[in-house]
Amino acid sequence: MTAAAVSGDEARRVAARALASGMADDEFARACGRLLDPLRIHAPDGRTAGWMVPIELDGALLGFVQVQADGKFHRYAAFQRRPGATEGCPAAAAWLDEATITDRARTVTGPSDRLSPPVLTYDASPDRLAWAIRVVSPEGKRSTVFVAGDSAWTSVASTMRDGPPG
Amino acid sequence: MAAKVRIAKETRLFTWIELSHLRALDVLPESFEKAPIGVDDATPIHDLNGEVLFWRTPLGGPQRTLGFADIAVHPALGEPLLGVSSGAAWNEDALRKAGLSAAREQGVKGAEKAELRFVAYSFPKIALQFLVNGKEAAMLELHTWQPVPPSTRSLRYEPPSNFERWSFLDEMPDDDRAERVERFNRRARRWRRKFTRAPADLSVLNSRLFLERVKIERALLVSSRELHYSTRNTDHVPCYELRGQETSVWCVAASVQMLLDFYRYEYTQVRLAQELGLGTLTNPNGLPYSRDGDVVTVIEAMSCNALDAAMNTSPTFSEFVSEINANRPLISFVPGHSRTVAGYTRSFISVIGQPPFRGLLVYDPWPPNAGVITRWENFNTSTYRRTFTAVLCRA
Repeated sequence: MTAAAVSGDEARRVAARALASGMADDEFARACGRLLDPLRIHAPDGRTAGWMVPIELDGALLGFVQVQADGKFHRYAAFQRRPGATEGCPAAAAWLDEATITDRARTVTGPSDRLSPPVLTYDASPDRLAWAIRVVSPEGKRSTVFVAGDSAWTSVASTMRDGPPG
Repeated sequence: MAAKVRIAKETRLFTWIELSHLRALDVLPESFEKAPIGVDDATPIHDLNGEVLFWRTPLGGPQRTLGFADIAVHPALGEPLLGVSSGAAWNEDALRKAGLSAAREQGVKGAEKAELRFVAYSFPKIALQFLVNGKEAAMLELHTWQPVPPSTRSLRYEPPSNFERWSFLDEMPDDDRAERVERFNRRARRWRRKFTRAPADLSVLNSRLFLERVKIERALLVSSRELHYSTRNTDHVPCYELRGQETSVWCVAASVQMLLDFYRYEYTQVRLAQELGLGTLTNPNGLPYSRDGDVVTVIEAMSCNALDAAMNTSPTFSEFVSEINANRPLISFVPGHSRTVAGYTRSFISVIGQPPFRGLLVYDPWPPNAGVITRWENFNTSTYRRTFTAVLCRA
């Protein structure tokens, strides 16, 4: 039996503790960043695979804490190339705003395709977070587009959990 | 009831030091800062032979229970701080009442007038001992209130069974005991040297005051290292760069690129993808399982065999540590993904019930064309499928 996933509030607490304790080791994010609302990460089968807790500063996404479904701290991933440098960080909207994400998906779909609302999931591995958008063409052909930050692509392989590295 | 034994002055000081130290290292969370240390409500825990082993000390006030700490007084325990339990309450009075009630129900004679003593009957398991005129009338395990059977032990070093009393001190091998006593005394000497004058208030945890007094760095109980230009521990500059994968399926190419860049073999990702058989930018593909070994071949070929590469099919944390200590990056395959590892951290102390934290510094080529630097990835929550290492061949 699978244990129930922790709530978003609990994931946020885990993220705050990780920042305070240094498990999420980013002095700049700790001092200046703002923890945003956790985003549920969906496994391909629809179950909760964990939570992404973004850390933002002035519209830039500094990084995020990833919490497992069971509430364990998994990792802190930083977009900063150097401590305190925000110039390489993506705009928070590129990862968090559904309209922006959908617009990004449209760069690889046809003009008449119908797009579903984006769902935060992963491509092949839980460390490869991406938004999935189901696409239906005017001819009824179905496909999935993934969006991760400024990148968008049409799924070419199954999103199986233990697939080969890609 | 016998008068309450008070915790010794030096033990109070060590309690404050050890807990403030843990907080200074962020092993204890922010909620412990300025938390009351219940030294006046601490409970002596005895060995089976009657000597006091440690004091169980409640943390937090009556309104906000944070947990408890076990502070050793017997040097044979090896360290002044045995552990901190987060969340669980320690209430000596409530336990005495519950134990007395259980003893009454079990018909223990003289229980009402007995002297009650907390005993580590099978360290660290604790029981409540009922002493009538200095002799044991009963010993009940805490919480279950099951009677602990009398000792039937014969051999000193025989491993104890699941529910058996044995003396932690009397059964400790002599050489082990000597080593532990020396370790305890070494740490105690250090604290005495640093704290010739004790802080005014030892009843409140205070990491800032602790750091002011001892001027230590956070690294005392944490070991970390990341890649540098050399293995020398002086004049160090971190030396590693992130490469984002240029397609959604080129994580292996990006990982090989990061590793080769470290050794100054600079190739484009497109070229490395070609060598690995991963197609082109417009028609890319991932690396199938059956061709994991190609990573070794390509690293060696693209370095003109200056690098001797190897694949490990059962990665361990110690492998990451030894490679990073030797100043060598690793490629790490997890199910469905490839990244590189350029550092590690590990804590030498843990809160009871949780393993010590072990983290990896991961240069992750995902998301495409960007990548992230993960500081840290929890080693205890990940599955590691393969590692690839590369050693520079020397003349």
